[in-house]
Amino acid sequence: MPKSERIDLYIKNVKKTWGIFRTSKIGVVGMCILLVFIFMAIFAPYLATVPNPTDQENFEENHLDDGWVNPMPPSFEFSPYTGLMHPLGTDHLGRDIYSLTIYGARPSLYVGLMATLISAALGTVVGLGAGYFGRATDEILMRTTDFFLVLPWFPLMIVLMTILGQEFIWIIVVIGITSWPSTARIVRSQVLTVKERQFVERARAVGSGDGHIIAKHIMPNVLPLIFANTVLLVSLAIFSEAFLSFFGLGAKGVVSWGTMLEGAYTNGAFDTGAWWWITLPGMAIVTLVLGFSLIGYALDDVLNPKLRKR
Amino acid sequence: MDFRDFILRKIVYLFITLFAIITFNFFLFRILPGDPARAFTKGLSADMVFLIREKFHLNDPPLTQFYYYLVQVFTGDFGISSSLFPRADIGDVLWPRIVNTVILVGIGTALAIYLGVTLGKYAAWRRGRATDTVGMTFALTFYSMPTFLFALVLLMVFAGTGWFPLRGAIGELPFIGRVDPYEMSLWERIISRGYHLILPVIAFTLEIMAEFAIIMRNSLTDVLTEDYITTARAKGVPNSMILKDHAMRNALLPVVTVMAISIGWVLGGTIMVELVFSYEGLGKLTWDAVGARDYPILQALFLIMAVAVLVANLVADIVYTYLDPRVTV
Repeated sequence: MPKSERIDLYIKNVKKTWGIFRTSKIGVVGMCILLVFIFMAIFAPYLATVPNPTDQENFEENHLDDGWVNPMPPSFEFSPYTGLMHPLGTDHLGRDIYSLTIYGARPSLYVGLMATLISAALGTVVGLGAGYFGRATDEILMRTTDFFLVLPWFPLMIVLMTILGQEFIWIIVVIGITSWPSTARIVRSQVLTVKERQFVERARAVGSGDGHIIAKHIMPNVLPLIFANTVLLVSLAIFSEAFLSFFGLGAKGVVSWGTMLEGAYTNGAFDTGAWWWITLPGMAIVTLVLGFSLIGYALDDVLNPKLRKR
Repeated sequence: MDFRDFILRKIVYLFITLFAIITFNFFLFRILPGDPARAFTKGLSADMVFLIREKFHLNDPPLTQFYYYLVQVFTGDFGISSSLFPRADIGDVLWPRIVNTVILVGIGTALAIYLGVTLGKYAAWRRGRATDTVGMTFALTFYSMPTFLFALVLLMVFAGTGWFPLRGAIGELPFIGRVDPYEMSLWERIISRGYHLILPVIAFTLEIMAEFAIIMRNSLTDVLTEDYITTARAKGVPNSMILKDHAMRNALLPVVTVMAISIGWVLGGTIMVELVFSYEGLGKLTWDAVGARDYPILQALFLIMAVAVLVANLVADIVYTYLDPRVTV
């Protein structure tokens, strides 16, 4: 098939899938939520009231005699000290909550996407290997997968983070290497059915190698199906990051929604009733995870032909 | 293959996996840089350090150490804590914590399964109508909310009222207030525990329930489109019987599988809830151990949680074969 024709076919497929996806209301809602957060992450400096909220210069200091005590409740007045507005108050260090939340979209999305990339790559390689080569390879890879599937992954993440140390990169790696087994299982079961199809047999008959068959014939038929699962993994990764941060194992020097909530909890925001400190980061986590879940479910509907006729 | 063979095979697999987990657990904590006995040997002379290392078998080659570890795990000896003083035996530290966690998780999971399955059932039966929309919005919101966040919200809402105790597993009685647990009678202890459990159980149950409800609903809507349901309807079987005898038995199968997989999730939920409400269970202990970098306790905790997940998986397998006689793997 010439290249231009192949691209045309590809575009046609994408259009068709998008056409079905668009009919799903929850999918479109999820997509809108995701776009809002991506917009937030990219244009954070323009949306925030405080341009660089983690910069020491932009912290409000305590002025006990004036009655300015951090955490400050929301107000639309400009601070007399730094000249900044804090529409949703400040935290215990005098940082602007609203701006921190806007900037917090960056680490969350970054962890979500990178960790999922690692996990999807690992899962796909293991699943492809096990499904395609079968026999001993299958047995070894699947027993390993089963083993990782029964390991309690929340405690495993905690233990690994404690051992490795609180670096941003380790958070991504730890989430990535604890969430791949489900992908491996899905990929394997799909490969098992695809490799029995006639076009694979024909490719082998004309002398194609394993590498060629996997790359050109098996992968294109397997990847769409793991897509829905991958989107759900993103929400799981964002969740895990928030959990690790709240547990006190978040990356040092990175302000994410999880670390904001951890700060609020350890500094007694809940006893003093500092609602502004938790509402925004809390809502941000819930909305973003909800967005990814909605897209995941909608994709499941779209890509799963059995459900489509419902 | 009959049921007994199936169970035997499962149990053999369980022991192989258990051995793999113990091995993993042993070597995982050996990646740590530095000397494992460091916490015990600070400021001692070289001779003393040697003696202490000898006592912990640290002067032996790794495989011999692994042998000692295996023997000790199977005799229930988890060593001593490096952060608690006096150097507490980890077994003694763990037992009361395990009891507390099992109470919380047991009540919470039972409620979550019951409520989740019920909610999912009603949503699926009235698919596309108001019950479905409201129920699923409710479930999806809780599903997207980290457990600790919901627990924190509960904590904040009830902090002002003083209706429920906010911290600990025992110590307060309704209408009376704080009482020394050692002076309570048996009944008072039970009441006090129940009183302290209310908020953690609410937080835990609602979070776990959401996932079960969503899966139950999706699985049941799937089954309800099958031809044999239409047949049943055509021959005049009452709705309640279609649901109970025809649809639910098949629809429950994927739910059981998901429950088995989500045990790791359940444990995560417990850790968060215990942390927020300072409930003295395994989750709170994990947090304390991480904070103090108490690796002996962390190692024991990881092993216990892994074994709990293994056992839960075995139970799920047995339930699955009970629900679906066709499965004879």
